[in-house]
Amino acid sequence: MIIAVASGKGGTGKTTVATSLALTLENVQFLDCDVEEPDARIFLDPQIAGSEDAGLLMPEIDEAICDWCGICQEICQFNALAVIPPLDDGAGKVLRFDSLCHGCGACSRLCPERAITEVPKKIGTVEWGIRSRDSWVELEFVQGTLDIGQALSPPVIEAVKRHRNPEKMVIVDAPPGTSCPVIAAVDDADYCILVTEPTPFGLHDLTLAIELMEKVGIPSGVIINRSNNRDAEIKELCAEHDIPVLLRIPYRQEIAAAYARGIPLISVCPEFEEKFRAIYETIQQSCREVT
Amino acid sequence: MKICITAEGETLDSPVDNRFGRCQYLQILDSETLEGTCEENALRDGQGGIGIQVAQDLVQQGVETVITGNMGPNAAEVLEIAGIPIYAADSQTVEQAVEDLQQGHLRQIGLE
Amino acid sequence: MRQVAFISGKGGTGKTVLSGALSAIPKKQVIADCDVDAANLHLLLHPERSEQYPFAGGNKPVIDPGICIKCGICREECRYEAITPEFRVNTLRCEGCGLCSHLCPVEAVRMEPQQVGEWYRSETRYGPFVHARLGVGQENSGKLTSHIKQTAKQIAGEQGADYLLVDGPPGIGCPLIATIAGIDLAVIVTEPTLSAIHDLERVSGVTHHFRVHTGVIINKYDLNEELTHHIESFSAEHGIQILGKLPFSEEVEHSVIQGIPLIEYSRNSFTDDLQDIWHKISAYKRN
Repeated sequence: MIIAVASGKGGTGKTTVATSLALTLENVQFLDCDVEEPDARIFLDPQIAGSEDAGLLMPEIDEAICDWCGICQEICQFNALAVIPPLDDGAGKVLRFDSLCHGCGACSRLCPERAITEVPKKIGTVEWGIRSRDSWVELEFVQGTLDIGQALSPPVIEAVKRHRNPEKMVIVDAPPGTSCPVIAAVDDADYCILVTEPTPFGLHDLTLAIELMEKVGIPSGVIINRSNNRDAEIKELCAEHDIPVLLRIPYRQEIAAAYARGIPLISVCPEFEEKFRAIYETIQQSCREVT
Repeated sequence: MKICITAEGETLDSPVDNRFGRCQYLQILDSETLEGTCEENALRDGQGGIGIQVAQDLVQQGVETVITGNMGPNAAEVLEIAGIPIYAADSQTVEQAVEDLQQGHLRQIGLE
Repeated sequence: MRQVAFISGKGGTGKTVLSGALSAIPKKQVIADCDVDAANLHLLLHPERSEQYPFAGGNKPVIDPGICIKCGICREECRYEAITPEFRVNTLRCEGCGLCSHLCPVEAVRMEPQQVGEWYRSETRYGPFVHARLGVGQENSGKLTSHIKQTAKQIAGEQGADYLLVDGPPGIGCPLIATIAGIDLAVIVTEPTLSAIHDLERVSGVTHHFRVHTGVIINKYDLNEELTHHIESFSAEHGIQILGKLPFSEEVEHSVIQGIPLIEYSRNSFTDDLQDIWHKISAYKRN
């Protein structure tokens, strides 16, 4: 089973929830798909055992074969190729603009001279490891990190997901928002936990997140973080969309202080372990009902 | 010499448009006679890499020099490879800019 | 005209509250919300008389069922598995590469621009405001962000504004890069937590990479003073100007709930701190 943790608004507590849920359950693999700002490692403290480049396949043109017909440039929907026909001294040139290339492969597929091969270009890194067996918890950990200066996160997210272990209970920490990176992270999830906060921003963005879940057809439930007894509007919104409120985590100074130092929620408040187990039961039940 | 100037209007006393890829008009003129054509830049609302496309078009049209305000590195690279120098105009009209080019008063840009 | 963008790396550090609060300091300005994926600034600024426009993203394929012969070539070749067994395009998975439209033997596939959201040009008490709403699940390529910024810049030019204030997105990808392109000062809003510090390091790496001048505001600095010192040292070492630090305040939440920018909500030492911060931002000199 794959449980994703997402939110519309950033900073509501996705990583807090995802890491504590992961530390509560058994047989877990944690995928940090917030590749622009992966922070879960701070809380899970895994030993990193290996890493690989996450690459985007980019076109390489064999200038010996290329006849500068310009078809690749016409095909490219992202304007990542510019073909300069030969000047008087004979040789033309094809320029590739890496920051625009989406790695779609259309140019190489359609080059009439078969002059284009695809070559991986590094845009990020995937690392993996294990949070060691201590008296408490062992789990598998994978994180993706987008290189500084790179623009496209979905390919790095896909690279993380290729490491998914189907034998494990997989928890996915998704990026914030509701656009393409989030889709890349959650689209194969069985269930998605939406984390929100009881503020006008939180409510506004939760509305968008719920809309997204309905669009992708993933059953979801809401966790209200930093709850302060002014949750009525959120509860109403959830009721309207037939979405359960799975948990309220009250605002407490010690939780905030512990978070600042990278200490997971269930370390400072062990009573939440039971609540996260209950959430897991609810999720399992919900997924059984769907199938 | 065939030159292209990005412009905010269709006449010789229109101001030079500081933008390259998203400029409003492209005036393609003979630098001696100032005769030529003016086209609206149909590409300017596109997604990304607009400057690259505009630069490509100019290469294909046999333009020999470009006058604009600013140009991004990608478009500049296209023109550089094609051997087309780029000059920066500063709050001038099209006519003034061409005159300054002829006098060697314009600053060349797009060089690394 | 000075362009200032508020960014953070990590979401939730207080960009929108701060940009809203500083918008309320009287000056000749245009305001832009470039966090198009989860736009919130309008909840504080209360825009009126909004002109609304559709916004088109990249092209996506449309399969004409009347022409399609269900040969399956498009499904086989699509790298993104974006064509369903019923030969409809799953726009959430589709990258918009157009390969299918070229391979279709009967030309049943047309590439068409898609509306991905809306953008608005509005008036607020604090000046003209340009903002947007990106549809859920849409590409956030930076195109809409760039458009918001360009439009706001254009209005600022027309009106002779002294400032363009931009509320930016979290992260370091396309939308963030589009936000910081060509601005005078990027202000990173951070907080003294390990997560935010990690993200500050990354986003300042991006501003450095694109050679954008950078300042920092430490929000809720009293949450952990040791980590606040760490941020101050890091900033000093990396040429990032420390523009100010603000203590945790419940007034922030109250003002957001009321939908009022902080400076208008109350006048006290907190708002004096904000005035100081603005003074530093406006005095910032490019070398």
